[in-house]
Amino acid sequence: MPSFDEFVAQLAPALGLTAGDLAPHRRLGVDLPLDELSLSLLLVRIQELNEDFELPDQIDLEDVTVADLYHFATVMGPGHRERGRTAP
Amino acid sequence: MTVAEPSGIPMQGRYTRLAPFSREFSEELYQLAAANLIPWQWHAPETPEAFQDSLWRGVLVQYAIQDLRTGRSVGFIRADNANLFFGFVYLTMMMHPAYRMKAWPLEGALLFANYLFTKFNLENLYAETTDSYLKQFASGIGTVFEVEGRLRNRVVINGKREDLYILTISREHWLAEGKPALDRNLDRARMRAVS
Repeated sequence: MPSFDEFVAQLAPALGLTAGDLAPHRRLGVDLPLDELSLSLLLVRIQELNEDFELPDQIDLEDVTVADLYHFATVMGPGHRERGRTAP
Repeated sequence: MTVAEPSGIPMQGRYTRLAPFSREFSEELYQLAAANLIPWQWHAPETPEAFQDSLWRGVLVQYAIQDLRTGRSVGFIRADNANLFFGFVYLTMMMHPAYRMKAWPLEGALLFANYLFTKFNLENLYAETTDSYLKQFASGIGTVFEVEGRLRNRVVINGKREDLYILTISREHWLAEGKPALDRNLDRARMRAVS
């Protein structure tokens, strides 16, 4: 599992940001210049780091902080997402 | 109109699938458009009948984008005003307001672009957007799409004149950027299905 610093160092270049931009308290869609496409790219990058990563569908990435994202990226897997849900 | 899954072209990814419209989703789209929550032709529909007519007018193919986990339709995407002789169509995509800024529904756009480029052997997908909507995905300029043209003060959105932009996703761009991203998503979806 990457440390927080390693995590942001891996993500920042793909988003055109520096690791310093990705401070733990900053919200992705509010405090950072990320639009919906950037957030989509972010998901792809995180999945490259953690194949099992899946963001819960109830969550708006816009309001997620970098610290939250690190938590999701390092602990979230399919079980977190699908528990209690039934596809038709 | 095509509603069946064409052989060999993936219509389902890791998060979403392209599905035929249900009557309920058409009704929901009308409600959203009438409430000005989605920019239907840059203005709200005048009547339910006019909306139903515009929903299918000039359409080559269109699908609902469904959340795989819940079966909920979270957006819609369509190709219209096609010119298959010259190899282009116009693309329209709208997300349900509750599913904006979640990022994963955009997988539906990758599936649809792949479907169009594969099935119809297109050269260009065009799309139109305005200042206020372009801001939602401007990071893709030069990588995902190009801005082909700009018509100044072309439309009125919520009482304010806005420029209309014509965007292009070329086949070349798609093969270089979009297709590899979709393939990675599909690989992950297959790996999950196997495990």
